[in-house]
Amino acid sequence: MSDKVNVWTGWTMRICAVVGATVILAGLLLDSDDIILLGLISVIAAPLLGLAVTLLALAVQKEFVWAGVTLVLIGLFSLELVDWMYSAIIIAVSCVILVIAYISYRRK
Amino acid sequence: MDPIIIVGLILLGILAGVLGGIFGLGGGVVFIPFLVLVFDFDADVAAAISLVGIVAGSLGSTSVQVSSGKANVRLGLLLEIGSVIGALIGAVIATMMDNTYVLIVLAAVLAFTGYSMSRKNRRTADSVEGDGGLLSFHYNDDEGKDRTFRLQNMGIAYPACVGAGIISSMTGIGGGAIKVPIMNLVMKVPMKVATSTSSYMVGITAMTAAIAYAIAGVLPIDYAAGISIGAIIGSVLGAQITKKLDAKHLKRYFGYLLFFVAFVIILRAGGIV
Repeated sequence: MSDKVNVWTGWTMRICAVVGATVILAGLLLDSDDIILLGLISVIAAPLLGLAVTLLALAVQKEFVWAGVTLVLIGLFSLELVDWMYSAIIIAVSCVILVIAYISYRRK
Repeated sequence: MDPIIIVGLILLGILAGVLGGIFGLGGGVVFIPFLVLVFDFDADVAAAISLVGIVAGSLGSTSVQVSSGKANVRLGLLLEIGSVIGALIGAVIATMMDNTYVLIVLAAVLAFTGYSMSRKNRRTADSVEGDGGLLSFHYNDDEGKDRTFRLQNMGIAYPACVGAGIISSMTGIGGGAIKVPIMNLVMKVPMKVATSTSSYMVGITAMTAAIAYAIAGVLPIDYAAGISIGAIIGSVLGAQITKKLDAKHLKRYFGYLLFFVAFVIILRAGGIV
């Protein structure tokens, strides 16, 4: 059985690369800063989107400990994007989920 | 922006992507010298642009390695927690630190990368057989057989990953030259898995730092856009060229070139060039 994590993550990165490059190129040709910025966001955010897809694939495959690890990693990104208080809550909740998943794994 | 500069940036991105694919680098070791010495950017701005280029380049090459299972995503996720923490710290340090000191750190990293590439007999560590636990992972060896390995020395390796993230973020270099030895020599990850997984990790670390620089207002959007296009094209070309080219000797000469570039950057830091 193929690993959904690898397949889904790989394809997400590929699609973001193609979309991002196309939009940036269009922006450069049209001399539009807004379109260039949109394309850049698509490229820069691609690994983050890849992480979200990875999280989904891990949840589907019931690998909850690794899903918890991914959640903590995504939570760390929130430090850059939202107020530190909200980030702290997101990271704390992610860590709790990870600990619960790990305890469940150890009991099996 | 002048169309000639845009074309120049795209070509720079292609060059970095191709060389990165051939030599297994993230492209930063090509971006940074050009951005600092030719375009005359400050170290933090050059790092920001380079990191965007690394993210773009990694999308092209890493997606194939991830899809095929060569890059171990779970291992990468585990280690990236430390690396991302380091990247966040490194971006803050770079924007606050004097340009001269960042250039000195950059020169040291380039010299280390050059040393790693120019060594004839690279030391590698043997892996430890996995025990089926969470820190055990599967991989296919050179003969295609399914084998397992278990991570070792996490207490030392994790802080090292944080350090790699700091250096990568500060200097705009992907950090593969630091992460691969950590994974292989300290954690006993098979070299094949270490190099593939490192290329996956580099994209996430670079993204973290690039976002931090963008929020700090240090990232010039137009330069980043040009480099991104070239890096994506270059990474695809590099992957094709790698299949047909034996780069072992070229790698050593490229390593010597990096020594020279590190020396020139030290001169720049001292205000001599």
